[in-house]
Amino acid sequence: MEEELISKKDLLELTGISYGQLYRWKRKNLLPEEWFIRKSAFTGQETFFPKQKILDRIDKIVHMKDDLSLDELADMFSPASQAISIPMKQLIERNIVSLNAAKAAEAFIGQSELYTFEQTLCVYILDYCLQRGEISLDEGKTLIPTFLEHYKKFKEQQCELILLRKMGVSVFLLVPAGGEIHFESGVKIILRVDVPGMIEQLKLKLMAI
Amino acid sequence: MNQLTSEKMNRSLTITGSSSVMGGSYNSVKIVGEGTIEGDTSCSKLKCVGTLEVNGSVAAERMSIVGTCDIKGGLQGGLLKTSGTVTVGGISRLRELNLAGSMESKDHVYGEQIKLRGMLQTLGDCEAEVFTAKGIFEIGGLLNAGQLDIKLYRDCKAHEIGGGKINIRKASLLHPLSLFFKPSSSARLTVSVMEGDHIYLENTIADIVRGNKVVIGPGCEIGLVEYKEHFEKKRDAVVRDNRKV
Repeated sequence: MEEELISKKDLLELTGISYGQLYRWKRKNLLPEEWFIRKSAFTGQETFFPKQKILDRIDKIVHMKDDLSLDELADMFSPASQAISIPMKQLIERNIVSLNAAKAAEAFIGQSELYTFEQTLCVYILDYCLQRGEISLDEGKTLIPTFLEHYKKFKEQQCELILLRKMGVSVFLLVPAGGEIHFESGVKIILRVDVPGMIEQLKLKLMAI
Repeated sequence: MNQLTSEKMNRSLTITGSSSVMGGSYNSVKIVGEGTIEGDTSCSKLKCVGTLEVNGSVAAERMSIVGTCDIKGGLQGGLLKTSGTVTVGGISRLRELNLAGSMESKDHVYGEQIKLRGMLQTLGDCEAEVFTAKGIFEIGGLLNAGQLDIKLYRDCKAHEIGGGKINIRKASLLHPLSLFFKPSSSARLTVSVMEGDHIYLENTIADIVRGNKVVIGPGCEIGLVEYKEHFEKKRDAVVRDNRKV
């Protein structure tokens, strides 16, 4: 799964932003360090970016920077958990998560009224997976403890959630993002969820509250 | 319980002479003489006249170092003022750095405002909204600043420079400071790649310079200039190739 790359020069030309803006956004942590890929080219070293990711991100920054300050934007893009707790009722009412996902999660998280950001994220991801129709509710129930137990270990590193299936047995994995993984034959990757992407979506939805 | 913690927050640490203490949170920390702090320390004010060694990280709202301060971990906080020597092992994240002495970092240095009149050496990147230098620096990674004003007193080096406005000039010999700290007329800035919106350079050696408006002044040796709107080469400058993109 080789990602398509774009050089800095092409990126600036395509998006119409200046060097100053690019470096400013980097300073404000709107563009993660991992996206700056240095490669040697015939003119010496050049910087490349993962094309789809950086174009999406710049599009968002350009459209939202009038409404939000750069610091607020950085907060939204950062994989760090927000220090908030949200009543589950509100999440369901606002259609951020479905009732089914919330019910499944309740068994693990407990009947607590307020959910932390991490717990909300977990339910949100579960909901996303269920909506995609690729996992069953039973599989979803193994997702929750896996995620809640191990997600913190990544601290603020970017990670990916992967669901594998072989001969009807399903396995959930949490792995650092960007790494390559290979499996024995017969293993099918059912789902790959980019956790930072989910965080971004969730934060955006929560902000509307 | 509450009282205990508030008492803990309010306690101060003073070392006069030579001593070693455990880290923790303090209101103010003052070292006159020689001190060693074992473990992470946070405080609102840290003052060191003499030698301080911290085997851990430091978080301080205001720091003033006149002697030597060696921090093995990271450094976080508001204002750092030094006329001595500061060594930091981890990442430094400060609001304002006022360096009249020297600072050495084995990792990245992040600040809102960096004022350099002494020496700054980092193995990692250095980022600031405003970076003003009248001294020496050596940046192992990227020097990234919104506004970069550099007066060259001695040879400076950075792997890459990026930012909005970049202004690099040789130091004036008429400046009152130059009586103490005489600028060398052969002082050069060496950098492999420089990118910015508005660039003015003197006495700079670079492989590639890319920008919107680029002016290459005297004493420069540039391999390639790529510009969007404006390019100007003064006399006594060498530019091997230039391209409008």
